[in-house]
Amino acid sequence: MTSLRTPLGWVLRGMAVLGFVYLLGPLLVIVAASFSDTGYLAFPPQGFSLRWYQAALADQRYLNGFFVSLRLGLMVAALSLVIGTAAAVALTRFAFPGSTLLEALFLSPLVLPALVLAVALTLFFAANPIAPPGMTRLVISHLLVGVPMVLRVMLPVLRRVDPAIEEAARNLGASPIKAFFLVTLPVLRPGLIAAAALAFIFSFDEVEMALFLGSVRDAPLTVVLYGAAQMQMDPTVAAVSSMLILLALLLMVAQQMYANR
Amino acid sequence: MNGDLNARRGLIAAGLLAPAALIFATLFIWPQLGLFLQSLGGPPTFSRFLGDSYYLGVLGNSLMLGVCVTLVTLVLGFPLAFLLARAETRWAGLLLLLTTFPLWVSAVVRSFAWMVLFFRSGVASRLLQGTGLVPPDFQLIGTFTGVVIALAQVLLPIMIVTLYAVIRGVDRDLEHAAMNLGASPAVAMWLVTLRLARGGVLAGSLLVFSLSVSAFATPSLIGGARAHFMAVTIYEQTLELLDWPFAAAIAAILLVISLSVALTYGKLLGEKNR
Amino acid sequence: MTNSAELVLDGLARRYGSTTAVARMDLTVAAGELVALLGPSGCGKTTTLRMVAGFIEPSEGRILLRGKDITTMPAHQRDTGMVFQSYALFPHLSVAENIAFGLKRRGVAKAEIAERVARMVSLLQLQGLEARLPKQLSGGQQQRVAVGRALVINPAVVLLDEPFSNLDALLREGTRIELRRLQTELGLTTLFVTHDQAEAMAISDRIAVMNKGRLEQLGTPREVYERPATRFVASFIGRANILVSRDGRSEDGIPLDAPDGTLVLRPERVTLDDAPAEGPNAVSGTVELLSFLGTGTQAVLRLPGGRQLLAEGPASLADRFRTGGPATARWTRGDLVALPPE
Ligand SMILES: Nc1ncnc2c1ncn2[C@@H]1O[C@H](COP(=O)(O)OP(=O)(O)OP(=O)(O)O)[C@@H](O)[C@H]1O
Ligand SMILES: [Mg+2]
Repeated sequence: MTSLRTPLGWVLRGMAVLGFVYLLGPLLVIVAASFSDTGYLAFPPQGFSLRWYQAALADQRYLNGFFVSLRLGLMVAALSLVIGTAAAVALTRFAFPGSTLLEALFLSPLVLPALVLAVALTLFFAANPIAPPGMTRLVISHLLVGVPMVLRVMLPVLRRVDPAIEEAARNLGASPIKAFFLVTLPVLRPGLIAAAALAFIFSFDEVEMALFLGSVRDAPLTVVLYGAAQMQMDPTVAAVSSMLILLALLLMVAQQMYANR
Repeated sequence: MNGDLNARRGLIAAGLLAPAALIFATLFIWPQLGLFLQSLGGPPTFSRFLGDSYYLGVLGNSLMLGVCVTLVTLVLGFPLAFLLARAETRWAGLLLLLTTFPLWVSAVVRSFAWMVLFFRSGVASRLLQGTGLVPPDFQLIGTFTGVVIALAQVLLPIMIVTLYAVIRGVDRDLEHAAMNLGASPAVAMWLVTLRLARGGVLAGSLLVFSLSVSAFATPSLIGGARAHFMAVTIYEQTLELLDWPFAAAIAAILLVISLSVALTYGKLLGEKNR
Repeated sequence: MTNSAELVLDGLARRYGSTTAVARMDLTVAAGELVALLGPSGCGKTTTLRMVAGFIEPSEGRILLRGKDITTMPAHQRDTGMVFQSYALFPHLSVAENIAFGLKRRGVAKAEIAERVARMVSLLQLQGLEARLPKQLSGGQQQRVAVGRALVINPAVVLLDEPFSNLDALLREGTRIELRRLQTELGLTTLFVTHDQAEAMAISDRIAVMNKGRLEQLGTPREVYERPATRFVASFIGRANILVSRDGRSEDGIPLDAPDGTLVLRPERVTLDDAPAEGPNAVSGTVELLSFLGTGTQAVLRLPGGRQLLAEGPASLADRFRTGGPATARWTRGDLVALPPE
């Protein structure tokens, strides 16, 4: 790239390096601090110990929170995927009046503040207790964002797929159901995986709705962490955070490997 | 596709849309309308908000936060996005992936990382103390600056991804043409790339602005007890003071801000696509 | 060519609300015959083809394939092999898997599938590309895979929807010759959609000229060119001067030796010279444009009445006449083809 050998190029590069350090540095800091052998959070870390990991894994609140979040994320991902993909198919494969408007409406929860959604849902559930507090409320509330996320991934994927391939499959003797499983589904699979991963990670990481709508007993991990971080600078929080960073890394790598296969 | 709009197809389409429509209607339209109704019913909540200098200060704080975070993410995000979009190495893909990696990590975790750096004996606070510009017991936690630094980092990937897509869309040969006609690289970038990417830059800025004005986790954790921001205030009013009509009113104000920003954003992107 | 009717469209029609995409069409395709559906954009060619494939339900009429009524049969049970304009190759399957798809659905034995796929691959000169994915192929190769996929199942009728429209001009010509060779060799009954009249003339046994949803004329390429049934056919296929004759004169006063009615005069039947026009079937005008066509020269003559008359002659026309100069056009009574009264 020729333009990078100019002074402007060097300024740009310098800024970019700065940006990278700023973006990823804090995550490295927290991982480093989690191994510190001190009774308080220290960066740079002093000594090396795994005792904060031991403490974190022995703590029922974190453990319970993790499994609550896991269940929550899996349910939200599965339901969002089914509901969102069905809607995406309807919006892309059937022309009907008002479909563009409907699409914009369906995507709109993504641009609204999570906290506003959370408050509105809190008031709504207080007035209409259609679901018991805790997990059920949280799952259906997360669908409000999970479904649009799936839509945002699947709409362009479905638009890129030539609808004629389904017809080609039928022309060659595949029944509509066979055509779906032999042709449509395999072609959509990378998109579906990406959409499910996004919905899962949103639900797993989300804190606003979880604070408002979750129950104290079944608090998701983010809520437990939020509470712990507010209380004190506890190195176990760093250990839990590091494990979450590792989990996110694994998920991202897995998703990438799958998508590029 | 050659859709036969016959009854059966209509029925299938309706069936596919029904679950999403149900969720959308009961959990979105209804609650959002309820929010407005709740804020209008009972004591005059909006005038209470708009008539109280404390709450106006909170609104101002949040808007200010939005402006600052947007500027920081723009200044740091553009070079990164530009280099990533123009890079021709196979590392570019990996670097782009690394830039988006923070989005996979909860905002709570990312904010906590800044808390480690910001508290009294944290590295960032100690560096500032070392300059002698701040008192010896100074800590970045609880300061507006601290919130800006942390929130800008949390939202930076979103800015980069938006800018990256826009810069990718600008034909490189236009830059080359400008240089061929005698423009220096800097001038070419200014006259061509930035000009053409203008809509996308504005769209990314609006998105980050909207998200920072309404951000909760980071301002609450970094800002601590003195976090006078909109979302934190709504949280206090709802869960601690239980003044729901008032909380609803503040949420409605935030909703209006976000909606107007979102509409502008949608219009901008729509124009870009045309 | 046998005369058995392989495919019969019997009063086939399709309406969308108040628009008629295809109006009561009758068409019989004999075994081993290639019939082109030719017409301008929006005339209903694709709609007709897709009704035969079973993707669009007819509003009226019947479709018979090898004597069996398939009007309401689901698409996947019909024995048709379609080549899509976009090719519609399965992006996740290799070339060989794409070609084998239809055979697998028909439960053909593994060994036979391998053998038939290999035969198709060599017939279409796709050797060495069997394991590639569609996106790793050039446009021409993709087109051949699409053809192979449709032909390998040995369908009762092959349906092609503008299969060459995504190829560049040179490749298009080579490919259509290749397709014609394959079609005659294998004796495939074929319905072929195109809006390119030269393409239709070049490879079909018969052409069905469509306009606004209706079949205007069905005939061999020579028939539709030399004896067009309607004014639309005359001007859509090849170039034509159209004269309306009444009492020995055209509507703009050219003396004609011809019966009353609408007459078609092909440009290559018009000769040019510089003698004055005398008697019928001759008219003088000004040369407006001379264009070299490679095989000859085309002249546009502006007549005093305002009409532009087209004439085509040898390349030497360009030396004998000059733009802006006078010229006289001549033809004989036999050059004027009368259209049947409408
Ligand atoms: N799903 C539909 N709804 C309404 N009208 C339709 C539909 N499909 C086709 N038509 C109309 O039917 C007519 C014939 O369309 P068709 O696609 O068969 O044309 P075509 O001859 O294949 O044209 P082209 O050369 O442009 O492909 C057109 O006027 C078209 O607008
Ligand atoms: Mg067509």
